[in-house]
Amino acid sequence: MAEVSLKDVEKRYAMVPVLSGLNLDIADGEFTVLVGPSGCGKTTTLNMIAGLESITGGTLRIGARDVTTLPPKDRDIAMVFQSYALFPHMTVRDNIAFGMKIRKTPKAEIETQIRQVAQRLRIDDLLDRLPKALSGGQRQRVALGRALVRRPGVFLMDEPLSNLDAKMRIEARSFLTKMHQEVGTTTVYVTHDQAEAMTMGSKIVVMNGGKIQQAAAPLEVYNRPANQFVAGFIGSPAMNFLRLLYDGNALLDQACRLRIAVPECRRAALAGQQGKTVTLGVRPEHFRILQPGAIPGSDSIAFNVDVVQHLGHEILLDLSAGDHRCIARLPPSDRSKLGDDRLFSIDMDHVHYFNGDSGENLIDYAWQQ
Amino acid sequence: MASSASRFDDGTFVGFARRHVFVTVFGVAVPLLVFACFIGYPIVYTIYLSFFEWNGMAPQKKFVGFANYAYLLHDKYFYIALVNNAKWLVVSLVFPVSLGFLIAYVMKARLVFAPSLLRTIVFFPVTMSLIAVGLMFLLILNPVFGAFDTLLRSVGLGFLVHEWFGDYRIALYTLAVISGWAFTGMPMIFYFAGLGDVPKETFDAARIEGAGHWRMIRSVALPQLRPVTAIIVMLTLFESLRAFDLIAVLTKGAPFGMTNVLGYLVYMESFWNSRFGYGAALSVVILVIAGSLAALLLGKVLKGAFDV
Amino acid sequence: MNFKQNGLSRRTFVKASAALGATAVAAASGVKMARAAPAELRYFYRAPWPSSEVYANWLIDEWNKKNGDRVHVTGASVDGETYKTKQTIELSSSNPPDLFYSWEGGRGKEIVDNGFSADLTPYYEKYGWDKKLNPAGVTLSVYNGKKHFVPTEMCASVVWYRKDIYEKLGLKVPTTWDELMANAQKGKEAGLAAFMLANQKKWPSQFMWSAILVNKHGLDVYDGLINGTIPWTDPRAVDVTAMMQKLAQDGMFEPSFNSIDLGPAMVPWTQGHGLHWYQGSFNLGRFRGDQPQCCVVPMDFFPMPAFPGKKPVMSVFAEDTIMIHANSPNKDAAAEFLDWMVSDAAMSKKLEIDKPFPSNVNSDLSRLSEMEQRLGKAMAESGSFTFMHVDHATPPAISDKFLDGVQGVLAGAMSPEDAMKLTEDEAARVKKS
Repeated sequence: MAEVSLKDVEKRYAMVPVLSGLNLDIADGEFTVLVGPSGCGKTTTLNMIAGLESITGGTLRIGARDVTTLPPKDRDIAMVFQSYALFPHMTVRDNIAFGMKIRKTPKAEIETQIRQVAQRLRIDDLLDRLPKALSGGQRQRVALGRALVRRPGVFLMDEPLSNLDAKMRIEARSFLTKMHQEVGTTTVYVTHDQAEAMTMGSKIVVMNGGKIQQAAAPLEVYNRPANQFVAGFIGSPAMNFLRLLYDGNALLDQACRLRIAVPECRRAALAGQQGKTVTLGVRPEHFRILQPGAIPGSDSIAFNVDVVQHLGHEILLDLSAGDHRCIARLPPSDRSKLGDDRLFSIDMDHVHYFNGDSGENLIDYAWQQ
Repeated sequence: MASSASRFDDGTFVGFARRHVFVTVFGVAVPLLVFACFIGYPIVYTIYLSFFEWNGMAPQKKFVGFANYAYLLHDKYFYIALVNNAKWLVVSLVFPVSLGFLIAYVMKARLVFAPSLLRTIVFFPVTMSLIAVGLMFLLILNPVFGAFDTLLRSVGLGFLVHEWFGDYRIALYTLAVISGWAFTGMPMIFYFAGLGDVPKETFDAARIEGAGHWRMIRSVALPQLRPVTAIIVMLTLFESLRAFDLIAVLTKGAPFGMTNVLGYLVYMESFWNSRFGYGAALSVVILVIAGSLAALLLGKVLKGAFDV
Repeated sequence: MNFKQNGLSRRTFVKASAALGATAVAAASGVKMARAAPAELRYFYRAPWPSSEVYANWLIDEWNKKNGDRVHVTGASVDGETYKTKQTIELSSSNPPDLFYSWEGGRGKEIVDNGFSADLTPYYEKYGWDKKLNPAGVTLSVYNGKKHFVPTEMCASVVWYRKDIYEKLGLKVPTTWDELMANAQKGKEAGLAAFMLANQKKWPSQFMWSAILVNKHGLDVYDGLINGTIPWTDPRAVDVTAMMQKLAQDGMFEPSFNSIDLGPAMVPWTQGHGLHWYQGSFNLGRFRGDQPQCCVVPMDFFPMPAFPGKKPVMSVFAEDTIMIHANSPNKDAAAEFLDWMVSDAAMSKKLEIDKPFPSNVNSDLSRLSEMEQRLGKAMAESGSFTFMHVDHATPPAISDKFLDGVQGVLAGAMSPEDAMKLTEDEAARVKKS
């Protein structure tokens, strides 16, 4: 059991910094998910925690110890790899026992440990097989078993589910969550899949361009994104963004005669943005379709329906108004057809306002609370 | 098309040949013909010649049956050469192959500075002609003014100085090590490529489990490199049976035949001593040895090495 | 043999048609043809030294300048060591060289026996070679009563010694074996190698072996060994091998003598680490170094001294000998070229470019050092042939085993008896086949 703390951690390759000023605290027992698009630095961060990549600046603490320069084996960690990294020439039993043999654990002890872990992971009848005779899900559980027997302070997982098919992935997701609840070990989990991050993490760390964009609980990240990147990355379909001009009262687009009044309570936050571009963020579920003939209000927009996607339990509409493109999520009862011109209202209580240049969320939630 | 294909699709070669005329002619018949002319015929002729006595000049060859083979059975030189070939093989397997692997490993693990420079340097001798290598070492290991002995003496290791080519107890090993020096780049490059195919994560996983380099080599790298090792062992085996160039340049079998190997003995007996029949008999023996060792290796020692 | 004749006639045919074609073209263009196409001669020679190559090229170029329109010669060389192996293939090919280098003695006999060598007796008469060539060389050319080669270079084996060190140690030139041994002992005590051997290539030690055997046990015994009438296991052959072994055990040879070749051995020799060196006079090329005249260091020679009650015999042998191929279509032209090779002019040039000694006794030795002139004269006057070292005298198969045996004995890895047994077994095998 251990907490993990990164302080001003940086990574340079031949003087070129790829990660810098990384600060992150992970509490003991927390299931933290590092999420971001490929190349954002999440795997490098994980490898630095593991000790597979050297840390070129800052400090890393695991538990109470400074482990910045320690080799991987002394960091009290275990890792599960995307490709499982099982030793192909060893049986499942030898794979799980590999580390214990190096650490010279007594034979009987090894055997007991293997039994326990194998039972828990339901792989006890596979112990004498070679990895090539296992299915993807089974290999994944063996890799997990190899990590579990270490009884580490921290589990590191590098996209462990991405080699599984969709059905197996859902299964494994809940399996891992349950496992974490039982074992309670601090876990750092890397994925590019925001749904995985939302469902599994007790804390989500969204990364982009070598920087942490936001680190918070899943719903916090969803509901109060720190910036436009986080807002766009978390949630599916992604949040809609409308770049509009702020005139002190409302957001406008002259070209398509679009005008959305900003509620009084938000005007203070937008005070500095008068005459500038503000990006309005609207999640697909916050569009409401108005009945034909309804009177346009201060929060309504007329859209043309470009694509209709029936998903059974809901309908997704691809909409356009001038240069603006949006996706709206509607109940299955909606009857909109391709080419319709429809009027939508926006749930203004749930929209986000982002700085048109920097993408910062203009609402300071901390102050609001 | 479908019906004509199925008409000949009887699973026999004739059926195959009728369906794939181009492949049969250029992929099977022509290569076989070339093989038969340039490899098959010389082998058959060598076997034929081994039953004759012929000095290479006389118009008539004298049929002697198995006399050449009978002579071979109690020819001291043959046994010396045979044992020397075995020693050569052992040295070649131990020295260049292990060294080549180690160099490949330290380069892959980035334990050395400028790995690609090292790779180039180590591989360079492979591209040199063995004749040039031999002439070079003839100078380096010369007892009168050789650089190697001078080097040993200057660092206080003068007691290690030997007659590298003159002492019959070590001359063969000198040759084998020189050959190894020239050959090291080959296993190195094979292993280097092989290590590139071993998933990096398996090394990472082992590192996290606390495996040191020795354990990493023994338990992670080598088991996953078995196909590469199989190829290298085969190559080394044939290379050592073909050993000839260095002996021809460096010692010519001297001192007193103690550095003869089978390949050189064939040359000596055929061309120097004008015993072409006996030389052919020796060649046949080499063929049999190479064939049986290869069969043994493939069938037993390296069984399954290629189905990873 | 049929295929060779076919090959010849085919070649003749090609040549004839080529000549015909040339004539037709020449006639058509109105150019007057002086002659038909010249006879082509191929000369296959051995070039163990860089200077040998230079000399051979001069020889061929001079000839072609004068006679190229009538008889055109092209040369192909091979180095000293791989000579025997390539020759077999060359000689038995369907297009053999017209003139070729051959060893004397045992190897020469193999070639004569296999019918590759033309009888040169008529040419000896025609050109009067007997009168100008070294008599020992002429004696050597006789196989089955017919002369088969022309010697172009003669050699003698003698004891070379460092004159300056002899003076420094107060030694006198020995006339008996015991005096030589006494001098050797003194040299050894002075920290020198009493005898240089440079036996890496295993043939150098045979010179001393042959000389000791002839001087101690007589020429008949040596001839007996060579002819196979006395077995190599004879106590006298074993005795000489044991004497060589004793010299090695007593530290009379330079250290690492089995690891050093003749070239590198020149280093300790010129540095004054060696006192004697029993070797052939072909080594004069090395002794001379890059000096115009012999030698780099003060040195002289004396013949292998006598054993009690025996007359010493000096070994004079032919180092270079040329044969004409029995299947050559241009034997007369080839003989003419041979006559050019042994002419006074060519032989004097050989001395200038290459190394001594020319086989033509009339050659001008005046440009050589006094010591070399003295040796040259001694050779010219040595009379008929005496003996040559083992690997010239016997077929290669036998001499190879003999040399291995002696080297093994010197290295302390074989007994003299076993070494001679090894030789005799091979001699018996060769005799049987």
